[in-house]
Amino acid sequence: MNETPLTRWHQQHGARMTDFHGWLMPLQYTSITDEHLAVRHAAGLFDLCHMGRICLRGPDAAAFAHWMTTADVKAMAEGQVDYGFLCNPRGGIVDDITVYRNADEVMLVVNGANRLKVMEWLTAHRDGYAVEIEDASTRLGMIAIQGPQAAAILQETTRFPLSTIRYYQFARAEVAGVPMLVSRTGYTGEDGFELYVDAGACASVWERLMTREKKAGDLVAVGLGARDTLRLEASMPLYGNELNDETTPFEAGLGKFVRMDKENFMGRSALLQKYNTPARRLCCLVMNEKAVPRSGYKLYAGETAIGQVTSGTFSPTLQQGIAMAFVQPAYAREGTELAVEIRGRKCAARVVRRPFYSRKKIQKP
Amino acid sequence: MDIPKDLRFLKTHEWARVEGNTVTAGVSEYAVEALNRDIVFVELPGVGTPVEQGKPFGVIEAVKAVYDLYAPVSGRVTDVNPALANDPGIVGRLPWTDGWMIRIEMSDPKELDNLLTPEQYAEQIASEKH
Repeated sequence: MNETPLTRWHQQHGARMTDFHGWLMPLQYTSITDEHLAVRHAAGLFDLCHMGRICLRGPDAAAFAHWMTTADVKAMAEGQVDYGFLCNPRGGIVDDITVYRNADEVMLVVNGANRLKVMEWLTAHRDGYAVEIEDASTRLGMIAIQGPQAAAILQETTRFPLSTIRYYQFARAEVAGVPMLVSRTGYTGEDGFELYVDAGACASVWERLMTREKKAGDLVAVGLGARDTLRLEASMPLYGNELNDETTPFEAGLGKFVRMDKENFMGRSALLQKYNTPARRLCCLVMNEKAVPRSGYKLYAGETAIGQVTSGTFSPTLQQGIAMAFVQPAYAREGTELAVEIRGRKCAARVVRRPFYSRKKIQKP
Repeated sequence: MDIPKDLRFLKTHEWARVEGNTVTAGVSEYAVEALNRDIVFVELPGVGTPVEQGKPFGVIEAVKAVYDLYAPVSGRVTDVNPALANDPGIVGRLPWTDGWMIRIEMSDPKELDNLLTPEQYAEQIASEKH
């Protein structure tokens, strides 16, 4: 089992540990609900060292990333982050990623479960490009601080003016005495930062943040359990649940992250044929009654089976069952009344606008 | 965790309090600890529903997981804890007392012999922890 530089800390602080795709990770420290609400109301700290960080370098690094991803990498400014996809020639999603544009390199942050698959995918398509592909996941650690208090707390540990980093931008800065890449991004629906730190310095940065003089309702460590409920409330997809090699970004309602106007990229011609006519659509559902939808539960319109839940949970913020599900397009419209089959009983649900939860918007550059 | 001495148990962590021919059933503190007290929903049978020893009678849902509840004895449901519909968190806070789930009119008191004593249940928990 792979361990992160923070595994020992998690174990020493009472975390319930779990095997997440070969990584020994904290599922929860206290309770999923408490950790979830701490991120919504104050701030939470996440060990994300299991995510994959892949660095592309060399004269063709940007051109290679431009061809392989749906992001318009050539048009990205230095210090900009973009969300997007690696697509296969059928338009299916190899992985959903964030792309970091540096002066001398492009970094792709990929799902932990897909790290080796993406390394193989990139390596298999590098012919003709002068590009070096480095799996930097063990050299570089990754920590996220998320929540309405995240910026104020992080600012206590750095002289760098964090307010100059806007949403989906990053900068190099010294935080807690350690040089790192500070990115205003996240997977919780809250304001916050993702920090890319030398693996050897990860534990000291984490300690420094966790042992500051605390105020009431201050920073707490958050496990993968609450990470999942937070992303689901923000209706952010999870690879393996909502996304896979056979699903296009358009079916998943994520077409705006596909820069169809750039000249060409892997999967574009297939997507051109499919993007107006997706066979199914991802929709957001809330339960009209007290019941909790879960992944795999079937969806009905009357007696007709029309799809199934990809992710579901009890929402700690909304205090009701919520789910994302693929349905035939005719049933994906907001307000459509559907039923989720839960233990043999059809429970009433309705389609709502995504996301389930959104904070007050911070301005995007 | 203190295990009340007046209760009997299933291996699946349900408890039974026997008063005459009536058995009150709930889940143990050990079980709710395992769910991290994140209990969001309890689904229970209606009054009059027959239940069978060792068979599911309801469901307990945590934020991220769902578990069956097993009946400690066979019989018919005579009462359902009305407080749990609005506040299932009671089960997490007071599993031995206010968090009770159903009362069952027992059909075969000999079934009580199949249940674990508090000592046996304590041993089972200890073995699960290792």
